[in-house]
Amino acid sequence: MKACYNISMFILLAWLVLAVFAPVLPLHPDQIFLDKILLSPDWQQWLGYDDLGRSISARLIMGARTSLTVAIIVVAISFFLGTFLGLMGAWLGGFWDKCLIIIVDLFIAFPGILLAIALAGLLGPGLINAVIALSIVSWVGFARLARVQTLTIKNRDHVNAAQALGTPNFLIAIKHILPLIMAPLIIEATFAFAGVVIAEAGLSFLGLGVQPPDASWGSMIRDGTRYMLIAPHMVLAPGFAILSLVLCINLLGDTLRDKMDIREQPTA
Amino acid sequence: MFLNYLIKRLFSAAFVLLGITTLVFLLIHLVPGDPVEVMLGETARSADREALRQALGLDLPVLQQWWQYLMGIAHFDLGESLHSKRAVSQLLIERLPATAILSIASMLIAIIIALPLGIMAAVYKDSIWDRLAMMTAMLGVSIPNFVMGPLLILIFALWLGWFPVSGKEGFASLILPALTLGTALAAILSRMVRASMLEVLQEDYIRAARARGLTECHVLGLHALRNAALPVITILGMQFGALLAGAVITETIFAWPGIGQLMIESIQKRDYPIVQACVLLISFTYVLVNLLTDILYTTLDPRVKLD
Repeated sequence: MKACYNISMFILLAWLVLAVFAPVLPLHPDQIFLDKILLSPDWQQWLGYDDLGRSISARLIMGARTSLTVAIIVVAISFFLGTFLGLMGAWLGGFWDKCLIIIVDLFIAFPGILLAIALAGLLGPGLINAVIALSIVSWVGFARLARVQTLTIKNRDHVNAAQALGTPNFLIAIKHILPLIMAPLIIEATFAFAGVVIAEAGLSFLGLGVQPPDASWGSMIRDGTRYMLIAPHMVLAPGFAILSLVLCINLLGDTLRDKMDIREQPTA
Repeated sequence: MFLNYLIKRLFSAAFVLLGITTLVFLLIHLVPGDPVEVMLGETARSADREALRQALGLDLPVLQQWWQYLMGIAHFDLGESLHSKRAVSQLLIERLPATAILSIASMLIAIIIALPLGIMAAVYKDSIWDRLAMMTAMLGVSIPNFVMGPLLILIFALWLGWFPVSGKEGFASLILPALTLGTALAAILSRMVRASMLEVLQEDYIRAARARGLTECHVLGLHALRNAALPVITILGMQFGALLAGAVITETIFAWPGIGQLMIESIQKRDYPIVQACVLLISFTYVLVNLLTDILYTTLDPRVKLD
């Protein structure tokens, strides 16, 4: 198990480093070599070239940058927005809590990535619209979790004591509640991260995310499916890239969950 | 007691359906700029624009539009396709059977894979079989269907030639899409079967059954699996939505002529009434399946408390 954790941490960090330093690496993801169209992998170019004669390894690294950037932004937005709303709902109770529950129930009633596809489709293709669509869908999980966790904590003695001492509400939230509900939220964030990586690639696969010539793993697979018989490496390379990233994040999430000893949350 | 619960549950489902409809109605107002212009293109004549605006009811006040939309749905009138000029409800009915077949087949495949995997993992807990089964499940959750689909096509259609690459022609063409769509569900389900079996296997009635000298097969099949099935059914209902959403991508990969493919085609053609109708249909199905699962759950297990 320990080895598993180390390997996934290593792969994750490797992708992260590649993504961060992609702009300073000598990569030419958009440069076209007309003599290398659909060239299979060999010792010089490990991953070969695509249908326009562009280096797949360079595009894969740029794709990692796209994928991780989107995932970090979306998870950050959903984490802050969701936690804030969930905490507020549980803390204030009454009318505001009811409002929150209704909105959350409504968003959960849309299955999976469907709403994101529809939103991205209607807002128009593009990375920013994909980020908006994914954030609109992802905050709900955090809000629900933060609300439930806050409800179990808000009547504890130390919170009552802080209230009796006249501590302002926002300070109670930050100093006395947030630290106690952080663990499950971080685990949720890990799995949400994996979910967003898949969702972004999915939107790009459908042509609703990153627009050409920019590279995304999803759009690389989409382009590759047309040449699968003669150039399977066009699909295999980005496919295994996504798999490696998502698998590592999920393994990490599982390890975290075991470590923090949280009961498995029912997933919607 | 049960009737009270049923009424309460039906009422809340109706409320959610109303909310979904309202959100889907509002989707068209999210289109940046003027939706009519986006749909017709910038070169359209202004007379055509006005005609479309009127046909979609976009010239009315928002509240009135919303009411008309609700009334339309109550009469199964979902508007008209902007391109083929056909009734959207007609198009949906044409595409529905393909999606239904695909989702049911995926569910069956998921159950066929998950049950033995989960039971094996639970019975031989912490053994190499358990690890292998759970590693397989982890792999299954982590592989998105747009990676799984092309991979299966490459291996089983292009290299081995066992199944057709895409399209919907007979039973053979169903296997690969159903497998693609069912993988994630199978993975989630097998973890749930394992967890649920582990819990049940510790119960006194299992020890009692073993003490009475029943065969292991009998104990597992009749006593354990039956009780372990309940949480699994709930997960199945909850995951049905993810399955339907996944069908949108899977159908696109395999050119499977269902609702999902229709939705993506319509997004590309900017045929927004169809997009709205597809989202509406899929979400409605999901809510109704969840409702059914809940009701089934309470009737299957007399121990479930209603509140």
